[in-house]
Amino acid sequence: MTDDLIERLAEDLEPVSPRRPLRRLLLAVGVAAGAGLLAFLVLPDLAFRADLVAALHGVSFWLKLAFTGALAAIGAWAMAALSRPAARDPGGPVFAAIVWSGFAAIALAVLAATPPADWQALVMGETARRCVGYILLLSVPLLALMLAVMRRAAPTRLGRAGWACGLAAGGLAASVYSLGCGEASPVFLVIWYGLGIAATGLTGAAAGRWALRW
Amino acid sequence: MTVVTERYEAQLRSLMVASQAGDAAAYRTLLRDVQQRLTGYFRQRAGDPSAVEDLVQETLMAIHVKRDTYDPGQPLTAWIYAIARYKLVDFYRAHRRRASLPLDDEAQFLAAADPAQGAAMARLDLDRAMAELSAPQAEALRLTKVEGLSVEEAAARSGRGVSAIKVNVHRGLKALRDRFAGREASS
Repeated sequence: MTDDLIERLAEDLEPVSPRRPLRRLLLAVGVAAGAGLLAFLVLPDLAFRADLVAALHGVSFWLKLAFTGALAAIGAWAMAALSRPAARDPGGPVFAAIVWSGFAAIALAVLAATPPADWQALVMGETARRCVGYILLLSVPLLALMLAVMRRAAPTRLGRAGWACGLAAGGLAASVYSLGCGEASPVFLVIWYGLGIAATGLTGAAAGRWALRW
Repeated sequence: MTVVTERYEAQLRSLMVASQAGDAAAYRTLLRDVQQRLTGYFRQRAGDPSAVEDLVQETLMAIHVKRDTYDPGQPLTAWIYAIARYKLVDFYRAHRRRASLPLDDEAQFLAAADPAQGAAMARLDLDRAMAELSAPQAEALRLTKVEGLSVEEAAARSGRGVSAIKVNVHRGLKALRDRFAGREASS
């Protein structure tokens, strides 16, 4: 019986490229970024910030994008590693924590240079709830896409693989959202953006345990 | 052991690289070899003998479908072992068995099939050595040592005298000992 199976599998054999899973992942990241940008057309309440061109010359815009982009990149990198059987865990959570801590240090420096009376504005901004809500909303389809790509590969540690999908999706969703977000405070960034991305990562870890089975 | 394992790993890996390129003959050889390993591995761990063949087939199919996730820069046995272990965990989960699966590495996966293979290799060596003995010596050894008859029973069965059996067993054993000792010294 098993001999028949081996015969059938051998007859079914077609050449494959060991680079295909990585190409598929990169394609998915590109599609996810594009799909995220589409949300600006679809969701009436979401718009590119009016001062986007002017903001390109400011530090806070790039600081935000560096934060979200770095976390998305760590997520995608961990996805690439965890999509192969017997992959060594690349230590994604550690790198994510390092990135977050680096930006948290900047946030603390900003707080230290600000009178305590103004801290409230730095922490809460004007759009804290909207920020977390939109990052989570945008990340849902992106997370589904990342999980689908991961499932096509061969993850053997489903929780961690799901977490990597969530980090990539959350980082991408936050990157997209930052184009429509006028908040400039690094304190706001590490708290609310951090919260949105972390929640997506945890959702991915929980969903991965069943969604990634193959 | 490690030398054998490394050579084995290199062989399997070149078969897998050829398989990824579409070489069906290499693929067939690879899957047959892997099937042996998997059977030994699952037989020791599945608990339920009737599940072994299912697990082997599931793992072979997974290897087939996921063969593009093998990175030729990585050890192949580790890749196969991770898939086999994943399928075993899946099996435990499906059967609601709370078995604790040891976190063994692929070295043990390789070793899983080795006792059977070792015995088969020893049998092959013995057959080859026996073929070089004279017919009466080989027969005397087979009757007394392999089938376990007494010298009297062997004499009755073969129609030779008791002393002839004793002499042939003695000479046959000496010839085998010399042969294996000589090979060991030369290897």
